[in-house]
Amino acid sequence: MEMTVFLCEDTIEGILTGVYDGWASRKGHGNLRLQLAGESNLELFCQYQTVRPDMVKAEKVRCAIRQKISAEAWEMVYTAAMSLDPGKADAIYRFLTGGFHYGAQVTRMLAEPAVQKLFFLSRQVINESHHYQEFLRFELTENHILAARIRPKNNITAMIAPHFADRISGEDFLILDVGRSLAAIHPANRLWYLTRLSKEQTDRLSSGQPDIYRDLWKTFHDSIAIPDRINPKLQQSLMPFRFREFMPE
Amino acid sequence: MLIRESLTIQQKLEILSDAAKYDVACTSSGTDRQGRPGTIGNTAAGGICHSFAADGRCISLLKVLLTNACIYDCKYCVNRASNDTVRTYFTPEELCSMTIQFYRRNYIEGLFLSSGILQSPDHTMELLYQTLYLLREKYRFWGYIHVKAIPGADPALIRLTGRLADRMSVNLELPTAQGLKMLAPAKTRTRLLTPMRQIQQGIAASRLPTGGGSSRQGTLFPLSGEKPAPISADPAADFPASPDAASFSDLPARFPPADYAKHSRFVPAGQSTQMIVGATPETDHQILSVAQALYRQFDLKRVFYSAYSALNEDSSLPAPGTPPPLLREHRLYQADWLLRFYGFTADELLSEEQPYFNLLLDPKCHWAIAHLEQFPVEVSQASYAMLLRVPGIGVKSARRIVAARRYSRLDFPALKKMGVVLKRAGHFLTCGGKMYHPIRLDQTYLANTLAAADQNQRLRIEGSFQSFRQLSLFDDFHLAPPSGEDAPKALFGQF
Repeated sequence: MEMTVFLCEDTIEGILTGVYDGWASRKGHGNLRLQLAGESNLELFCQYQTVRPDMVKAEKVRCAIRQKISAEAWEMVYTAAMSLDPGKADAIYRFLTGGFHYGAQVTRMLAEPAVQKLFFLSRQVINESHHYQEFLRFELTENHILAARIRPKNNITAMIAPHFADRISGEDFLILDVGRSLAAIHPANRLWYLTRLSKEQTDRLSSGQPDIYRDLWKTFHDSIAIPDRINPKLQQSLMPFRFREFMPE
Repeated sequence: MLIRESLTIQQKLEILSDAAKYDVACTSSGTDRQGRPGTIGNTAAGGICHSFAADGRCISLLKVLLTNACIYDCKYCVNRASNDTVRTYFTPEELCSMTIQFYRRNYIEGLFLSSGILQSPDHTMELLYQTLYLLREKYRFWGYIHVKAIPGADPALIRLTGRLADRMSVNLELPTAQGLKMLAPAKTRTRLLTPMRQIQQGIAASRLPTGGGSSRQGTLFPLSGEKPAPISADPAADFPASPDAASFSDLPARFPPADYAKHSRFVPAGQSTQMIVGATPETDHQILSVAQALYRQFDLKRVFYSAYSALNEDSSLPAPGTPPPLLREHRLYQADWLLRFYGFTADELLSEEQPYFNLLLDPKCHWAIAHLEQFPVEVSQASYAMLLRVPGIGVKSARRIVAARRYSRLDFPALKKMGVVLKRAGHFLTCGGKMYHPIRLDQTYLANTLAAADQNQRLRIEGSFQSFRQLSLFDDFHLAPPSGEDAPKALFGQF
């Protein structure tokens, strides 16, 4: 039978709708594939079908994963969907075919290639979001808002925002993913939300305000190192350059 | 001693963080506390490192001294009374606003406050308590605080401070009592262990009502042979009132019970300590045995090792300029992990005859090579405890193996994907009866291979390149050089 490729939008809704449509098409798991729209070249002997993101279908899939597999599996699927890997849509589909067959135990079946792949993607995203909990830096803007800029590989803004919302709940802050122009905005003592910012809005945020505490921090950072043990390579491997773009030190 | 007051906060920070940098502990782990409306800060159980200094050590907390003035003259310490340096101090307000402002910007996880001894231990401890009180009550800071308990301070003060801190530590300074006597005549072993015992009992007492066991240790591997410290039902009874407690009876009046203390237990993240390595001639075996005793008898959360940086000139110390023994420190940390998470004991890793670690091999490989009779281990059958003993398998990958092998047969590529380091583990495992490398288990061969595999890691720690060694047939392949009358024969090929 000829291969059918489902083209989904690069969002969690898009991918889950793709999973739903693929499953509902009853073509057989071997005869279909999920792909992100706008990704790669077209192939011969393939039928292409564009998936229109549908909240209702996505919600059905989400509930099914949570009930028939486990909450842990849903967490893995969600984090993997935030990955930058172009093959993630199909990886999620393959994982779910196993998941709906084996149930909750699937998350422990690490010898299965489909589980391995998803586990790998999910771990990558979680690791990066943990790095940004560490290395993200807020700057005080003119109107006393704390603004942080990041340029992550994976789409992790929504994953780190809850951490900061819990931590500095009394602050107005925003976290801006510069590459995706995606921002998590947290008004003091209220819930945070995700939104897209326009070019001029993002430019306004990058004004270099003088900040005495930033200078104090640099002083501290320099004087806390032990001269006998200076080791730039070790420093670099623990804190790679790509995280340092917006760090004051 | 002259204390400079007319310094800017920038200069003070430079001096007081510079003076604090030889303290090694900078972890923010051990408590998981959610934020609360009206306060600032939460804590994560795993801890969060926020930056890495030029020496590659993590920066998690604002690590400063309250003051670098000190009445003691410990020979190894940069702040000893006889050193000629600028002395200054932070006011509690300065420290609090700096902590809060750094915290808001996500520079730090919290505060690590230590201090030189100003006037007396009691006075210093009271200053530390004041600072913590201000930070918790006025600034509503709910992030992480690590504070030093000052040996010799009144137990009442330590008890109060412990309610406001996440972690407390007392530095053991030197592994043995003799070393301490030689380098820090003003401190005695008993004086250091007293507050440590007090904190341990305080932690145990405050943990009991919540139903957790009195000890943190022993969940995975019960440490046998030690009597738990007797704990009475009434927590207050564990803190005998000291004779001079009267002088602190006004404390509750000046500082009404902290709001924070109602929500927190006594030192929830446990206590730690640190030992200086390389200033005195103790062996690795002695140091590790001390660490093991501390874990077992004092229920410590962590023991830190600090490679001694030779700064002070003294006849009883290594000469200034001696490089700090970084690799030795690293091996001690590796062994420390083996004690805490892998079920090893100090006497298994080292002995009186072999009191130092092999610098070329990590302690686990070293142990495995000396115990080849227990290897190779079959992945599908080995117990969890045995998997943990295989070099290249950590706690996480051992758990993954145990979980995954119930569902399918594991092969080497699958192990690799689970995070097992085959470079090391491959020599000691079989999958379905097959080895990864078709080689025999030979001590010399394995030692050389594993030491070579570990080389990059060693270079990373020492930050320098070691010179290459010329291959020697006699050393590497155990060929005996021709001796006596064989020599001329060998020369002329007349065998």
